[in-house]
Amino acid sequence: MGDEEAGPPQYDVDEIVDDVGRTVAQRRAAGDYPEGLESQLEAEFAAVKASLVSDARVSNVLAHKVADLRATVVDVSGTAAASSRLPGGTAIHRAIERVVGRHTNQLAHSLRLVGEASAAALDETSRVLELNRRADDRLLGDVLAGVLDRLAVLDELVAVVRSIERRLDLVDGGASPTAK
Amino acid sequence: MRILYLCQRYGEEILGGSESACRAFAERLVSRGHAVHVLTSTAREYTTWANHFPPGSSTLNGVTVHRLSVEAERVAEVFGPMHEWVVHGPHPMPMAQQQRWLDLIGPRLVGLEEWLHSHVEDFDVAICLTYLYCTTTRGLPALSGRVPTVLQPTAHDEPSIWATVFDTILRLPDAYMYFSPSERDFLERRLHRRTEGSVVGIGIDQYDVADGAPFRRAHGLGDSPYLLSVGRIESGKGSDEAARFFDAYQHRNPSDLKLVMAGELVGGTKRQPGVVYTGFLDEAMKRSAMAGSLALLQPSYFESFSIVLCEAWMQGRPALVQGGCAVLGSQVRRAGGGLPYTGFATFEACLDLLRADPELAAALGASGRQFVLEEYSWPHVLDEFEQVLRAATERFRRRRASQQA
Repeated sequence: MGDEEAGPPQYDVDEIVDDVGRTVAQRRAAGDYPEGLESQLEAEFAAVKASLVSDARVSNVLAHKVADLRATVVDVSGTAAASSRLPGGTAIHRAIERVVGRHTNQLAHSLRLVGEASAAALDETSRVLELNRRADDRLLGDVLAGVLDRLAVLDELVAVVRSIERRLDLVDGGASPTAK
Repeated sequence: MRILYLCQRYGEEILGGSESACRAFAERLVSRGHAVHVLTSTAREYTTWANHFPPGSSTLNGVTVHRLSVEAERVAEVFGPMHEWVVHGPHPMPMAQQQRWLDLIGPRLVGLEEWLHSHVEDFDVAICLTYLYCTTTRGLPALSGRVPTVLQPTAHDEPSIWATVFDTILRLPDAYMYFSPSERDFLERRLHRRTEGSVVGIGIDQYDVADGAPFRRAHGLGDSPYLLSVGRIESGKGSDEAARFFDAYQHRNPSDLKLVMAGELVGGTKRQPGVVYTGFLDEAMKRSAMAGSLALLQPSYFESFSIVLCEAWMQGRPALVQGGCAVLGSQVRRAGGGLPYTGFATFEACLDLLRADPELAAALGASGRQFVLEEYSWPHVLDEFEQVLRAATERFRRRRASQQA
């Protein structure tokens, strides 16, 4: 393959994944995934994944949900599509939009603000969870280090005792020691 | 150095990922002038551990292989409920129960500890491969403190590794060798401490890009694009889920795209409609299959490293991987060689993207190939490997010296 020397064009996988996430959010908003489709297809590993003891996974899930929420908030609109297949329908929709648009747009704006505030609150929750997890890990690590130190002392004592046993066996001229 | 490898199965006809890695390392270490012995079972099938090879010593490609008989075959009706109980049952689980569970995982070898105790002084270092099996769970405690020990854990975030019996076993080795940075990160998070050793990876044989035509001809694929999945075909490897995703994708996006699964169907796994099963492929045909594919599909949730991913990249093809597996997600990000999906919706969107943008697919494949050439050449990997062996030996000496002081 000759392109090794030239160097392949570089793509940032995370950027592509973000694009994919936006595509999925748009499709979801458009009702492209029938209810139950994903849960049915993904059921096999759902229970297994849930049983894994992984705080980081919880944080990741939360982060993804917040990202989904933000993507959805962006799409909140105060107007509906005006096109219609009925004769004159489009004009009627536009007229309705002019009449109620001020109110629906204000509602949409409020909804976006609520969504943004919710996402910010969840971000903060996620941050606190992560801080707690790190603190727990440090504490547990310290405790475990202490326990392991004491176990190491016991191991050393065992080795000393076995060494004494071997020497005693030699002194006694008895059978070769069984323990190494 | 005189090196002892402990691995649950060994041989040219054993196709498991960690077993293949063991043989690849052992044979290449011989070519670097080391004396390599492998202590393993007489089993060929990991689902039963039934005795297959004769017990005793033999030589395979310069490696001395010692086989011990399996004490008892794994019986699914006994192992299954016990596994469920220990992994998903009430906690804390008594240590004796967990030890019995480890023995049922197998392969429990006749005279393993005695063999190790009587031969330990014949070796400068011992390496246990894969944390889960008795060659490690029984072997490592028998060796620890007697000879420098190294663990290649092949660890990943799965229910079994959180059993508390591993709190001790996984702390025994003098050093660790990891297949990927995410494997190291995970194990250190599991153990709540930094570990000695380093990310060694594995060498990937370097080939030119193969011709995809022979595989297409052999399996009547014509000009149809296809996703390729390579490896054991079983539910636990995500094969059933992949087949379901693909079936749903085809219903929603009808086309001549195919899903090809190459490998052995394991443990009563049923064939799924709409999937092309090729059975086992030899190396040349596997490379042809990879070269001709739209992308490699790696659907497994539980991997510590994916060799087939690297092999597909060597063929310049991108990968579509299970993003629910942190290791695979990290591997494609580091390589810039593919896309991770995290459910059907993203599977569909990623597949749409790869199909619609051949330039992107080719660029991801090329980036993956470049990554493998730079990171996974055998000389580079073996240099790192020997470095870890030296580190383990040094750490063992320090420990012993402090005991004798």
